[in-house]
Parts: sequence; structure tokens; C-alpha cells
Amino acid sequence: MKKYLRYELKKNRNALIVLTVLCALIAGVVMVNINLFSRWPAYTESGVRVEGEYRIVNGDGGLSFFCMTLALLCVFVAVYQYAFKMKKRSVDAFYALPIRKEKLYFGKTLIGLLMVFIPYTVAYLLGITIVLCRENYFHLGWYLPYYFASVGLGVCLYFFYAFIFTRANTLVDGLVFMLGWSFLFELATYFICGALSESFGLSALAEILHERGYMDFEYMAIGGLISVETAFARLLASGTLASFRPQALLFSLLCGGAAASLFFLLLKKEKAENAEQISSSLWGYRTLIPAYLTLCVALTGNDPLLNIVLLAAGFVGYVVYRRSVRLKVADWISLAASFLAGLLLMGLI
Amino acid sequence: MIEVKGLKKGYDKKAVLVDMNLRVQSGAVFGLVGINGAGKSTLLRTLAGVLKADAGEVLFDGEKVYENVAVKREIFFLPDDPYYDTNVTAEGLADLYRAFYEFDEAVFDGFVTEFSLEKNKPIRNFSKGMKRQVFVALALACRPKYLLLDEAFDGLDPLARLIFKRGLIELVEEKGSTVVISSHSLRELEDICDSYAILDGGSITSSGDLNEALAGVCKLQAAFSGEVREEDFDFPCLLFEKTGRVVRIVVKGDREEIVKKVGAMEPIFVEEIDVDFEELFVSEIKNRGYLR
Repeated sequence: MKKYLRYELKKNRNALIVLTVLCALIAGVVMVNINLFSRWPAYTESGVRVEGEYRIVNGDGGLSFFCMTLALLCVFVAVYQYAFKMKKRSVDAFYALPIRKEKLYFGKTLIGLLMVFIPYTVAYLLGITIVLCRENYFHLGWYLPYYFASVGLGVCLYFFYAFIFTRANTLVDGLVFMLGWSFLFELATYFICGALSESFGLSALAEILHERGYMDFEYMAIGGLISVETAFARLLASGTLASFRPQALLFSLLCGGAAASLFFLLLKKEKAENAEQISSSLWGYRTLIPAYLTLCVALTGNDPLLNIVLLAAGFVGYVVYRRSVRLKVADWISLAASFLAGLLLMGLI
Repeated sequence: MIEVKGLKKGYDKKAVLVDMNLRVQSGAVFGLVGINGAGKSTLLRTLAGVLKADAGEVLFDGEKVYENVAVKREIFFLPDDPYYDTNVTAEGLADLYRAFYEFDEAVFDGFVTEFSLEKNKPIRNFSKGMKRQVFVALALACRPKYLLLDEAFDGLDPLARLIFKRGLIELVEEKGSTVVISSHSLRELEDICDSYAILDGGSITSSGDLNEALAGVCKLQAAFSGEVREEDFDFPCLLFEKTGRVVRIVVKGDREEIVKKVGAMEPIFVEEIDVDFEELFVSEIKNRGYLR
């Protein structure tokens, strides 16, 4: 195992260096140029302008930039590390090696996490150093706990995307799955909240699920990272945190934990012959297309034109899935059932 | 020894290997032949532990191979289209195998020199044959007890084939390794294989000692004064070729009896020609109804 890890590390060394340099460069440019604070005219309590005095309004200290960098790294590295299982040639090479699949994937995961967190850490340290060198009014102590919080949530995000991506048998399918699962829970909870308040009079419960009446990021895998970033940006700027909704954080931790467990548990079912074949996993098109069609029809209302567009989109989804315009009977049934389910659920909101 | 017992393997609903039984003795150089789609690659991938059998088992010295690290450490599988990263060099590829096998640097360097390869240049710039040479060098340098080769000679020039065959023989003599080779180059297989199996429709149609199999078939060339058709022979011909009044036939059975029967047809002349593996294969395949 040690020799294999050394090999993986050596093989990925150049990619790691490139990623690190790239992230550091972008972080350097961004952190040198962002507004760390802005000056606004100062007023007395009675609303009279105090000449020559200004109040300082802090920015987010670059945390949103670091958050996005980490999220992008998680997605990119997950694709980079596990794309091997989508090519027959590489599957033959790796699965013929004298190493158990669990260890093979564990090694790839470990190196993948290094490829996420080394560039992230270097960029983060460089970013903070730049902030320290510039005029700022932050409560700088919050940079440290944010780093550790973001690393934990980054691990969850990495596992989420690694699990989703590896359900596919081709690179394109993997990317579609990642995109699909990124928004599905948010869409579903938005619908559920609408139904709870409109049809069941449970507005309080809906409020617990979704703070506002519109879609945001709370039930996306990245939601925890964004909510923690927002909280720490406030702490960094003012030193206090008026309120914090834990829903997004809990959802991300749950997603990450479940994805990590399933990622290793389902390895036993992994079949080499699936590489390059149609991605027929239940974690893919078979769930995503009906779920999106149902939710979209239910949420968009009774507009015939829009319904036709959504049905057509569902059909295109199955064409992408089957790589053929000749759909199976099961696909037509799924399309029809999802559409009808959407029409039925429409009445709930 | 490799044992395949009641092996079944399919993709989706299509059966590729159907109730296959096979035994490869230790130290054998075993040739696996069959037409395209016969199931050779699937069999080799299953033998290598890449694919899991749907039913039946694959045993190496009595041990199951799938997800068995100890057994797989004794096996090297060289697929027909081996994988390499975009920027990888021969040396970089060797690193992968160094991590898993008792890699013999001297053997690797020896073959790299013999094939005139550059170890530190990206493989992507190599020709198809040179890429194959790199993998041949790697396979032989791993000194495996079991070497599984898919389309072993594909892309290799005659000199490289010679070096490769010599390397295989050295490996077998030195380590007592067992080699299973699938190839369409039957003349190459005939040079080095001592046993063989012909695959068709996912099962073994013929197998055994290659020399015995060749001895059990005879090829005759005869010229007749008149027109002769296949139906004129009162024994089944595995192969029947006619050029004018000269007829070439491949027949399974007792050699002397067949010569006697042909002699009774009063040919102008009749002579016996050596049968090669390719003719044996073609005649077997013809018997299965693939060639007319």
C-alpha cells in the first residue's frame, strides 16, 4: 500500500504543483485587488453628517473566493482522480493489479484530498498573508477556525461529488450526474416548503426548512460551505454573529457522511465491464430525469407550452441516457408517469 | 496450474463465455485462438481477475483469483490495448509495476536496450509497435508466475517478435512460468506454444497438446487426371482446396488409412505436407460452419 501511495503521489506530483501554483497565483491576484473594506460617511445618532469622519464597512476578507476555490477544486479533482474507471483500458490496467479495490480507491481518495487541500491551503495562507500586509479592520483571529471548518466541509463536498461521479460509466454522464444532484435537493425542498405552507398550513415548518420563500443554496452539497463562509465573513467583519441557520451545514455533513460511506460500501458491486457503457445506475439518469420532470412540472404551473418544453427536455434526457433516440418502453412509461405526477403535485402549491 | 470450471460471463443479457472448462498445466505456453468475438479477451480479463465470473470459478493453484491479492501478485495481464497516461514515459510506467511486483530492473533495461527504446520519452510519441515493446518489456520484467497476453504480437515487427518469443521462453525456463497467449498470429503461436485451445461461441471447441493435435491431422496434395470434387472423397475433409486438377485436403484421422484411400482414387501423384497451426485452426473453424 505504501509503495502504491508513493507511486500515486509521484504520478500526480506535476498536477499537484500546477494546481498549487495556479490557485496561489489566482489567490494572490484576487487578494491584492479586492476591497477589504469601504469607507462610508459617518452620521450622528440624529442623522447629522460628521464632517471628516467615516465609518468602515468590512468586506468578506476573501472568504467567498476561498469557498469557491475549494468547491471548484473538489469537483475538478474528483473528476480527475476517478475518471480512470470510465475507460476500459485503464480499468483493465488498475483492476488487474494485485490490490483490493477498497485500497485502490482509498489511495486515489487520499491523493485526491491532498490535491484539493494542498493548493487550497497554500492559496489560503498566501491570501491571509496579503490581507495582513494590507490595511484592514478585520477580526483576524477568525481566519484560523474558518480554515478548519472549510477543510471539514471540503472533505464532505469532495466525497459527495466523488460518489456521484463514480456512479457513471462515462465522463460526460458523470458530469451530468454531478450537475443534476447539485440542485435536486434544493428544488425538492423548495417544492416541499411550498406544499407545506400552501396546502397543509404548516408555514412554521416550511420556515424551518427554508428561511425565505425562495430557492437558495441550503440544500445543495455546497450549502454548508457557503453558510459557514457567510457566518465567518460576518465574524471576521464585526466579531459577532447575530444568527446562524444550521440547516445547510447539517445537510452538507449528512450528504458528505452518506456519500463517503456509500462510496466505499458500493465498491464491492463495482463491475469492470461497466466502463464506457450506458450509465444505468439508480443514482443517475433513472432517478434524475423523473425527479426533475416531476418537480419542474409541479413548480412551473399549468402552462401547456412550458409543459411541452419540459416533456421534450425529459425526452432529451432519456436520449442522452440511452445514447439513442429509440427509447425503451420503461423510459416512455417513466416520462409519462413523472409528467402526470408533476401535474398531480401541482395542486399542492 | 490454471483451472477454469463451469465459467459463465456475460455483458448485460449477452452471454460471452458459456460453461467454459479449461485446464492449463504449470509451465505451459498456452495458445488461445478464436475468431473475433469468440470470447478470448473476456476469458483473459476474467483469468486476470479484472472481471468477476457470473458463475463457475477461475483457480490459480487452487486459489480463486477475483479480489485475491496474493494470487494476483503472481499474475501479469497485458491487454490488447494497454493503458498509459498522456505524458507517461516507459520509466514512469515501470514505477507503477515496481509498486506491485518484484520488478527485475536488469531484465527491463535489457529489453529496453534490445528494442532500442527511450525510457524517458513520452510513450504517446511512440509508434504502435514501440508502445507494445514497452509493455512487453514491463511484462517480462515483472517476472510473473502467470503471464496473460492478449493479442500478444499485435504491432510487433518480426525482430521484436523474435526478441519477445525468446524472452518468453527464458521466463518459462528460468521461473517455470505459465504463459497464456491469445493471438491471431498463429504461426507465432505455433513457434512457442505447447498446448492450445480454440474458442468459439464462448466455449472451448478444441484443446490439448498442440503437437498431438497437429499429428492427428494430415494434409495431402494430389493431382488427378480428371475433375475431382470434395464429394468424391469417402471421408470428411476439414479443408478442401482445388487449383485445376491439383487438390489439397486436410483430414482428421489415421494418416496411413487416408493416404491409402486417396491412393485408391488413382492420382497422378500424391504427397504429404506438414500441417501448421493456422491450417488446423481454419479447418476447425470451417467445421463450425464459419467458412465455406
